Amino acid sequence: MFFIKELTHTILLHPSYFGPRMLSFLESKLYSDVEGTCSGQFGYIIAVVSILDIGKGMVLSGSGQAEFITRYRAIVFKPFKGEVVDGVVNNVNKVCHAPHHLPAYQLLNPATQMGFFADVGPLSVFVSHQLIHPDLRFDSNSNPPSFASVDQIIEKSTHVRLKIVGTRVDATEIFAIGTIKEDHLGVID
Amino acid sequence: MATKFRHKSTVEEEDASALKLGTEFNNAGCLLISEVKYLLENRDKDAPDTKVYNKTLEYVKTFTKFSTTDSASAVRDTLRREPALTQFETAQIANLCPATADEAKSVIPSLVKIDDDRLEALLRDIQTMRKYQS
Repeated sequence: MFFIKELTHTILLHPSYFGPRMLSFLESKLYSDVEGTCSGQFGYIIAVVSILDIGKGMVLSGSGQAEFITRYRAIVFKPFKGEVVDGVVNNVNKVCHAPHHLPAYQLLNPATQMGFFADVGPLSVFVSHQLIHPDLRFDSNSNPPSFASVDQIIEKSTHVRLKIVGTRVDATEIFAIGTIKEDHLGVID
Repeated sequence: MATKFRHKSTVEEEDASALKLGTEFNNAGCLLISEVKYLLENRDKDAPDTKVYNKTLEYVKTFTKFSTTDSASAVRDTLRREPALTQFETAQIANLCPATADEAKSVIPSLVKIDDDRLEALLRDIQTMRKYQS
């Protein structure tokens, strides 16, 4: 889900920047510091929409640097467990020979899994073949690799509707696994 | 080990199907894909050249359901008729555009609280708006 959210960011400014162009420097520093970053707490910060308050700039004793606590409003994207989203298939994985009963954490390790990746904005969601309807079978002879049934095919750049069943949060990235093995999920036009 | 366990039990588990989005996002404003597209395309600053930004722009262009700001705000007005809808549900309905009440309740489980007939009427209005947007 995309959100509009108020966030804060702390900028430490070296005294050599104190001067007439300080404000524009602070603004561009804020943009370059936060845009495109990802945290587990807030998800992906896609773009700053407006700066609400650039901060007072308290000079820190000892170093002489000024600390600005800026408040800004940004577009963020954060996936949630149980959320249904549309995505574009990016890659169909052909690696197989996975043991049948994998522990849950292994589902997040795509190297051992057959399935596909779908891009949902900045996020990449992995759908394991265990969470794909058995009618859609992996077609090892197709190029590019695909999952195909009599009337449906999932290959690179197919649009799919999927449900996020779990997320794992890293310091700088979010990993998600999804399912298309439920009603109203799967290939969309 | 013991401290780890205690920490885990105090954190509410996030689950969108029960509208639990965590403390940071329970009351945050949700954006429709169409609104994100408008905001990104009408930025007065140069677009940042980050992977996150470019992938998002491509995504919102692909999946936008309402091409004009007028139609996006008309959809919001329509969904406001149903006061029980939360921000998250409003955005999910407008992003996924389910055709029937049955489909809507399957992809957005928290909608069970809404009567089938009322939901169906809302969805029909939205489908009509999608069809006739200029």
